[in-house]
Amino acid sequence: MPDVHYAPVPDVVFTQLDDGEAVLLSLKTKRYYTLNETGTQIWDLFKKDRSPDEIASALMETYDVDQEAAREHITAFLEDLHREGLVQEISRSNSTPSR
Amino acid sequence: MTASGFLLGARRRVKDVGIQIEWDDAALTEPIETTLGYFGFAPLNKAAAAPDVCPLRLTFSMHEPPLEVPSQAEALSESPEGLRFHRLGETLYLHFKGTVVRLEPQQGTAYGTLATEKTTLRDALLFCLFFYSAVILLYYRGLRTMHAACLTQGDAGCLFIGESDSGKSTLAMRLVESGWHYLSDDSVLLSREGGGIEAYPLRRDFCLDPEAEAVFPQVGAHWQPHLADVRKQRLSIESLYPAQAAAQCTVRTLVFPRIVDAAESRLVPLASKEALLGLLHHSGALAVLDAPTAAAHLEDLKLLTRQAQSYTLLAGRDLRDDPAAAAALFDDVVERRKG
Repeated sequence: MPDVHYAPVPDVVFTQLDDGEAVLLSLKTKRYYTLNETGTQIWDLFKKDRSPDEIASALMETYDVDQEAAREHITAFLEDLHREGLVQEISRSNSTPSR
Repeated sequence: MTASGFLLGARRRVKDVGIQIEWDDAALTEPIETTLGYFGFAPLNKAAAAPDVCPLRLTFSMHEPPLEVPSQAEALSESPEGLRFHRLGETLYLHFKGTVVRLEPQQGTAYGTLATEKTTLRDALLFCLFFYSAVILLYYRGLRTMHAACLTQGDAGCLFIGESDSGKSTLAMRLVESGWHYLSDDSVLLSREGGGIEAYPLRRDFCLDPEAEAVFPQVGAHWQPHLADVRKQRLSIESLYPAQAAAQCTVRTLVFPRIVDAAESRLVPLASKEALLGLLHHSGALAVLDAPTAAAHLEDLKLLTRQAQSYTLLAGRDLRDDPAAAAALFDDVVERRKG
């Protein structure tokens, strides 16, 4: 079974706020979401195509959390984003977006 | 004869963006001219005839074969008046009961075929089609529309952002009565200039319920019919307060009014993030913009929340009943801003 990776959906617009939080806007659903500082950091690295392990390492530098807990948090966050239609699945084998 | 071959046309300017409007039936002349006047689109002189002076073109036909929305176009949203928006690639379609306008925002063009000859429906429809077509094309030229009243003290502007019937027009009238200058009671254009956001009037005439005359008796001699909303009357505010018309302002205060059951009104400070979410909530055009244009619009809204103080206005009965209450509340805001 291929690993599940995610990529941002093209019609999602992102802007970071001065306090470290951010806003995501889905042009498809017309809904907007706020991200706290952690979510903003994850999204920023995710946008830059960092792997979940790389993102987890970055979270470990910022927060007092171990690798496993960080990975779980990242996975849960990306699954939430997927449920809201803000990211899409990409299979490792063929890089074809599927939903 | 105009560039499209249509016999009838007009050239107007919105801020520094020229718009060419063309049509092919004399029956459309009066409603188009009325609509242009309603939005305050200034005439371009005949000497400004070069094509690049008018990067935007709106064309309306009553005789060409009717347009259809392609079946594969994606449905986007629906306006309060019932116009439906669709997208196919970079092309947008506005649709209402058989009348379709095709917009090419990147090219700056809108072309529509009107399906009805019934005067009242046609004029109201034309008004809405013109408004939404122009608004969308202006977005792609960096001019953002905001459903807001805008009043000024000096060159500092106060934007009042809210739905229809949130009290914006009543509040605007009270402030104008007290000597404030006005851009609009309903719709403004926002433009990023010199590192900040400037506001310009889009619609000058105020729109009030007919019952407003009981509160503002001075308006009675200045009523005109509203083209699209039969519940309201248009007020030629420039004929009533000609010396208080403002051409533009730097937005320094954002206010989100909400009518409450209270004797006295109150201003509650808002953090920038809440203000941005409030602005997003009232940016209906985002639903039809492409991602790059929407992203630019979002950055402009963020800049607006940085340069302005933001408040929720819990609007009590005093703003309606006491002519001095609005000025007392907002003069204080302006004074604090200066401090």
